[in-house]
Amino acid sequence: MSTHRSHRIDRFTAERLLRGETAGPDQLAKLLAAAAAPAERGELAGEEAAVAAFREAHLVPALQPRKRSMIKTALLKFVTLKVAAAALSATAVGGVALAAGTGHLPESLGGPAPSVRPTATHDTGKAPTAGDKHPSASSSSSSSSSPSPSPSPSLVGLCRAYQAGAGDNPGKALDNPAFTHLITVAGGKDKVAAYCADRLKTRAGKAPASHPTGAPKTHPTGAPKIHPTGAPKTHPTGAPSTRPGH
Amino acid sequence: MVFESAKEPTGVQRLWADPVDVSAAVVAAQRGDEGAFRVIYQVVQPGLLRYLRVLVGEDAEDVASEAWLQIARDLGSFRGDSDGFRGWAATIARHRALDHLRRERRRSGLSVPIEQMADRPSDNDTARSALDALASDAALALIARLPRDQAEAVLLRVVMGLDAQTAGQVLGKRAGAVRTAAYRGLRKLAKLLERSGTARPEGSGWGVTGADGEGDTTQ
Repeated sequence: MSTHRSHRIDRFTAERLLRGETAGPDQLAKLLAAAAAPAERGELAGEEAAVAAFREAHLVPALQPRKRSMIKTALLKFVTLKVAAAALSATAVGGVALAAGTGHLPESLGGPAPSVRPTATHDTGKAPTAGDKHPSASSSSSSSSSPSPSPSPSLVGLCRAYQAGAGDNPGKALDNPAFTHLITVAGGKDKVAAYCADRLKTRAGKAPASHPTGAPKTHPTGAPKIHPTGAPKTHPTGAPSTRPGH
Repeated sequence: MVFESAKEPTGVQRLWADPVDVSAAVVAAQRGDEGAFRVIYQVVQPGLLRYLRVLVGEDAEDVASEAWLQIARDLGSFRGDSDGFRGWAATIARHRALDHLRRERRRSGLSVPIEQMADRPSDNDTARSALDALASDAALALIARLPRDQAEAVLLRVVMGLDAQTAGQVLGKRAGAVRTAAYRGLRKLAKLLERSGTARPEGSGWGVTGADGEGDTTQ
């Protein structure tokens, strides 16, 4: 008790004060309580800026698989076209084996299949991210819209590659795994020529301006849709009840 | 008669609430839950800002913004519990504050010791207003009068709610050193309050606190 009378508090009392227990000189306790008082209005002024930073930082990783798959898709499409063209010209010269000698082929022969697959993963790959925690309408609507535009450009690309090199020996050209997907979509090897002729015609007629890249189309779908979902749910929980203070 | 003032079931009268456990919110925020991040901000920011006010004065809000930017960016790499998170956030804020002070000093060409950077009215004025208003601002102004190591030790424990161990990690010191610094800081604060002249207005206030203190130690 005598310690309360002077500033010479002991270490034990200091430790209790520091833990927020009532101890030691009254005024010192009051001072510390004031320092630790509940938040004042102005102190949370930076919340929106902090949340914006959070959004920026955390949507990017959340979308990264998607983004990466999109980049990969675009890259693979590019590679596919080049490989298809190379393979076709190589075929014309003397077979795929020759192209394999460049060393690029094994890697890129794996490419064609993925080049189609990532477009499909857009909906499956996306669902976990969004559906996982926010099984709201936005995820389903965006996932249903995004896959549709992407297959066509890649098919158009494949068709171009096919037509570019198919001239002499169309049947043999289609042996290249690069065209597996095209053959499947066309409904058989023998139907590829007709399918592609049709495909490229309608495309040229319909949208002469649009480029067969695909990337710009799918781009705007995902990012903005995800963030409005989470916030309201968890928001009203902890904070207000947390610091009763006095 | 003693127990009617003891509202909490433990019987210990608290000067402030125990720090809120943010561990669940941290995990949720790491998964991208924006609402959880808001909770973390609302819980941690007031203490962080007050700590920064003592370190960098009126630039505290800017430095806090910088700190939250980094917290948001690096949140994914954080591993630990609620106390660990507070300590991590305080460490980030502290680094941003020290960077800020270095920049300021370079810019102004001064070599003022860090502890003199914040605005400081005279001892007596701050001590008196700290008690009169009981505003956190005034209390912080008085704490800012301590040597920096003492002020930081007191603030990390009282305002950020860290234990001595975690506070030590923030400051790069051992827990014992933090305890000593905080202890010295409290003693100095008590002295400042005493000197302010408003100390000990009458005996009435003491009985209550003393009785509660006794009551909980003797059970």
